[in-house]
Amino acid sequence: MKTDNLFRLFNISTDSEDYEVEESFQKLIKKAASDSEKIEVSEIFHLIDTKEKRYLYFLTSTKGFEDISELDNAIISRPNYIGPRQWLELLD
Amino acid sequence: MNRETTKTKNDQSLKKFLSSVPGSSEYITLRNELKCQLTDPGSLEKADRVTGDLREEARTISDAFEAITNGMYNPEVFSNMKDIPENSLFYYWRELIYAIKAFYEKDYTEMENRLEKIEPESPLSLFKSLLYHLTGKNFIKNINIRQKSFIDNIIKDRSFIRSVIEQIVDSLEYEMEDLFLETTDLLLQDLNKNYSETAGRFAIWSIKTASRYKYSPTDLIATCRKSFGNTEAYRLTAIALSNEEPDISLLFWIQSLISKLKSVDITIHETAAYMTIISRAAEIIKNSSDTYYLESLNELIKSMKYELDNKFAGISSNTEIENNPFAFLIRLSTNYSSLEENKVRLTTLNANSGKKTGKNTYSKDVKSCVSPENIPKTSSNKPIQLGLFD
Repeated sequence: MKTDNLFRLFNISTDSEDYEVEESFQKLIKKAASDSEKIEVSEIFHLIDTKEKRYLYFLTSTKGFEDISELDNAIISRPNYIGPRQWLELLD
Repeated sequence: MNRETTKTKNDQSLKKFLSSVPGSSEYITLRNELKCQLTDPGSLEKADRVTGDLREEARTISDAFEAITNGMYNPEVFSNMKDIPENSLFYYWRELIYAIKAFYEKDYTEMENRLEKIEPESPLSLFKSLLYHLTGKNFIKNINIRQKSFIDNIIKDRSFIRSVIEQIVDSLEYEMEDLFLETTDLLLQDLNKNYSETAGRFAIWSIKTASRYKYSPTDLIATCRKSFGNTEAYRLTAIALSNEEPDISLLFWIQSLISKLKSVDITIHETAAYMTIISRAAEIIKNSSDTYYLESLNELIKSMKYELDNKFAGISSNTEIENNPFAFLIRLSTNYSSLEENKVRLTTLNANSGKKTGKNTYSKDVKSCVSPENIPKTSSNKPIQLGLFD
């Protein structure tokens, strides 16, 4: 389970309502393959189960690179972003 | 069928669909037809006679597509996208956007799962073969010029970034402060054009490294302010300095909050989150007694309280600024935050101060430090970062 970005994992934002986060949580629990994964999901859920906690997570979760070489992995070895126009042009 | 004929057919289907009665068999048939023809969700966003829900879906898809192809993560838009159902006109677009997201995240199983949901009759199925080509799953044999250019642009070499990284490594090895600061500054600006998330992470690394080498981060922070705005620049700086210089980090958290309070869109929840972070930092450095530092901190606290009182009248007014700024911050956080950890910090603070002084909530040493008459005119060990608050 990719837990580096909890908003992506839960498909939510800081502005999501508590019930939306709860719904996402229930879906993830259903999808969890093992008991340990369920425990992990529950622990994560408690980090973001209120709006205040979601903001707290949002404000503090940005991690700097540990080493400059990580920039290489993040950028160079990743595909380029080319914007929507070039994608849409292929459909013309 | 040539391109013009296809376009005309699509336009006619769209017109008929928009004129049909929602829920009728004609509506459902036309919707299924259009679902397999839709090449530009933006066209529906702008079209006449489109219902509110359909226009909203079109806008969500357009925004998500723009964000994902530009490398920007827009959580709000992605959160809205999950509400688009399987029978929506935009369902294949939704799946394509998730597939593109998975492609950039190198989650190829998720990418394939999403792409398989796009029917072969949909024009979007073209991207199935292109994305499979890009990931090496299936190479396209007869590729046209436009498709080749598309693929080339996505995998284009960026060796110049690698050379910039080498320059940064060299500048640190030979302790060339100017070269380090100039190169990181330029790279930061460059990254922010297309990779704002990565630029933020790089900014944290740069400021942290500058601090470790005792280089002045002033220019870097100025670039961050230009690139990300004051609130975000101060937040990134606070994170960068949190381990090496927690006292300075606290000043930047407060600066970030003040900057955010001056904007119109801060909520009580976000303010509470800031206050928790500030309280945590105050707890860590509560024994700091550097006079210049305390002077800067007190100034910022005054500004912060002013902005808080303006924004949330009544919430902080019952907490008066006391001589111990750390105690004040810990106490203030409980006015905004509902988190238990803030109450625990306050209880501990009260218990400890009771033990030390019998009744006061701050130590005599710190109290005397924050009195202006006790602050010396010059200090030989003033941290570089404090210059930012002069």
